[in-house]
Amino acid sequence: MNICAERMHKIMDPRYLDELKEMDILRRQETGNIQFSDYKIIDYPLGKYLIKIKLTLNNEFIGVIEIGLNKNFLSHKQKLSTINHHNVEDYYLDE
Amino acid sequence: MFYEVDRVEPVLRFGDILEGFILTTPNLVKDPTESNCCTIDIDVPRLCVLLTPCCSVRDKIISISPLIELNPSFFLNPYFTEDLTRINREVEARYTLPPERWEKLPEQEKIRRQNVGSGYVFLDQFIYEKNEHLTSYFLNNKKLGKFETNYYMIDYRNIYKINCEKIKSMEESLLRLKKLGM
Repeated sequence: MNICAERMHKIMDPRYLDELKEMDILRRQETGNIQFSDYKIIDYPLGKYLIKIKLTLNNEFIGVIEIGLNKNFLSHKQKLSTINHHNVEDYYLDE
Repeated sequence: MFYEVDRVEPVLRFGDILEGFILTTPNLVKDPTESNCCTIDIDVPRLCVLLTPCCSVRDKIISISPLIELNPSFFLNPYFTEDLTRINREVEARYTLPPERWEKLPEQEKIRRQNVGSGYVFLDQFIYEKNEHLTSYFLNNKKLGKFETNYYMIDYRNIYKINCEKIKSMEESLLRLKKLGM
């Protein structure tokens, strides 16, 4: 069998078609962004907890993987206020 | 030490005291969309402070703030009078006010302030240590009367942009204008 025939034979084989589809996907992927799985895991903050949830690629719920504490518990105002400040201006008005 | 003493570095750095700038401030007297809506104030302070980090001193632009006289009321607090640069650092709650004002605070308020712990008091100002190169001046206060000091300060709300052809880098700039380095 010559090479062209061999390739034709491979293309007709359904198992090779899946391989080709995956290669096509690979070609269209950006470098370092290859996903072979059919699910994804996201972090979902819920109050003081951080929940790792498994979803399908179409964002359908599969299950909960992990529940942990959300250590990023500071409010936005608290995050902004990283220094202690004493409000004393009113006691030092220029007279 | 507050200032460079042994050797003044031949570069312009953030916080250095410089002399010889002209500062302009537009004052809006009417709605900005109207004609003749503003006046221009021109100030020629004797000394200014460089507020551009050294690595950003380039491209013919720097930011400066004039050295200004202190608020006389600062001297009502003996903790500050001993060393005005304490205003630049975190202060224990009980020292943030003159003693007689602290004593008059309601107990709840004293406890609240003590629970905050040490903190900064005047976030908009930074005090410059007295130095022989800084001219003394007189201040007046109702309680303290007339007194002399050569502490100065800058107000961070008072920042000006200066365009100058000679500003190329922290080394190739107007070094002769540098009076004191921090």
